[in-house]
Amino acid sequence: MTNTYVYGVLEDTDAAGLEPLNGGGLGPVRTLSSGGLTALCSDATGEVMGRRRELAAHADLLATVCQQVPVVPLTFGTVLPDDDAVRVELLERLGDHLHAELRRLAGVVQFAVTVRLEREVVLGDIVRGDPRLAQLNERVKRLPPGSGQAERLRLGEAVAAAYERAAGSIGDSVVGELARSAVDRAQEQPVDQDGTTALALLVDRGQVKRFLSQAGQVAEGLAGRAVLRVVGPLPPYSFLAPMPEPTARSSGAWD
Amino acid sequence: MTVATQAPTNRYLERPAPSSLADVINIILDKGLVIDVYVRVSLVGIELITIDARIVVASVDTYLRFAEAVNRLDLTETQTHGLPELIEGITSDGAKGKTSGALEGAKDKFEEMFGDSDDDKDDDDEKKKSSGSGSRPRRSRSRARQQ
Repeated sequence: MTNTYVYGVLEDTDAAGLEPLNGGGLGPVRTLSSGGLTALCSDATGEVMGRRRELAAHADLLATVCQQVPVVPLTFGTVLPDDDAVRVELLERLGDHLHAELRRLAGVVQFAVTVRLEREVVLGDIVRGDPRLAQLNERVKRLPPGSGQAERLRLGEAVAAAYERAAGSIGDSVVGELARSAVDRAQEQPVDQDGTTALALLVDRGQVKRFLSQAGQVAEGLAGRAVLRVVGPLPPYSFLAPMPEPTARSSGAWD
Repeated sequence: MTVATQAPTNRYLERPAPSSLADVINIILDKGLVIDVYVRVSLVGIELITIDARIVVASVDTYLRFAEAVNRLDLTETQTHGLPELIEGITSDGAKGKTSGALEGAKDKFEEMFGDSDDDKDDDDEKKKSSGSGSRPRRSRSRARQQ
C-alpha cells in the first residue's frame, strides 16, 4: 500500500517559484495543493521509516526550501493515508492555522546553536585558577590507586561545581551575544554535565549574514574553551504555534 | 529571497550541513508540526529512539570522573589563554576523544538501530568524538513526544 509522506507546507505562490527539489532518501518529491497551500510530498511505500537517510532527506529538503521561501515543517515521519487525506485533512482542515503560521514566520529562519565546552581546557583553567584545588589535585594524584576515596570525591565535587559554573557562564555569554541578532530564542537544552548548551534562535532573513558573522566573532572569542556549532538556516522547527484542538468532525481518516 | 548561507568559519565555529546525524537527531527529530491528532500517521521507528533518552543525575560517579580528569591534566604549562597552538595541543590530546555531550547521546543507539553504514561517510567527525565514551554516564534531554 502506498501512503503519502509530507515534509512541509508552503503558500502556493511561493511553491510556484521553487527550484526543482530532490527527495533523496524518501524518493521523488511532488506537490499537492488545495486552498492556496501546497504540501511537499513523496510516496511512502509502507516500509519501516526512521532510518538515517530518510531523516536526512527530510532535513535536507526543508533546509533547501526554507532558504528560498517560508515553509512550515511537519514533524519527521508524517505519513497520511493518501493524497486526498493530505488535501482534505491537512491543507483544508488546517488551512487557517497553516496560512497564519506561514504569515507569522515568513520573515525568519531558525538556527540551531550548540556551545560545547572543551573539557580539558576548561578544567585546566579551573585548577590553575584555584590554588586550593591545585593543591588538592596534587595530593590526590600522589595517592595510591583505590585509596583516598573521600579526598577524590571532595576534589571531584569541587571541580564539577566549578565546571558547571564555567559552563553556565560561557553558555550564557554566548547565548546573550547571539540573541542580540535574533528575534526570538528557545532553549533546547540547558547546560548539561558535559557543559553543552543547546538553543534555537529565530533570525530575520535579512540579518542572516550579520548573525553568522557575529557567530564567527563569538566563536573566536571563546579562545578554545568551547566550540560553537551553528546549523542553519532551518525552517522554524522550534517556534511553531501549537495546533488548534481537534474539532468534533475530525475523525481517523485511516480507518 | 534566498538566504545567504556563506559562513565566516574559524577553528572554533562548526558549520555542519543540516543533515549530519547528530544534528538531525537533536534538531529535527520530534520537532515540527505534529498533525496526528487529526489523522493517524505512521511514525515507526521514532518511538524507539525516544525511549532511549535517559536522565542520569549527578552522582558519585560523576565526581570521580571529574577528579580523574583533573588528575590527568598536564598543568606544567601555566597559561593557555590566547595561545591557540597550545590549546590545540591540549584538545587534540584528549578532549576530542573524551568529551561527548548529549549531542552524541542518542547517537550510538540510533546507529545501532537504523544505521546505514554505507552512507555514513560525512559523519566521520562525530564518530571520532563518540568513540570511547560509551560507558560514561551522560544526561540527555528527555524526549517526551507531543502526541
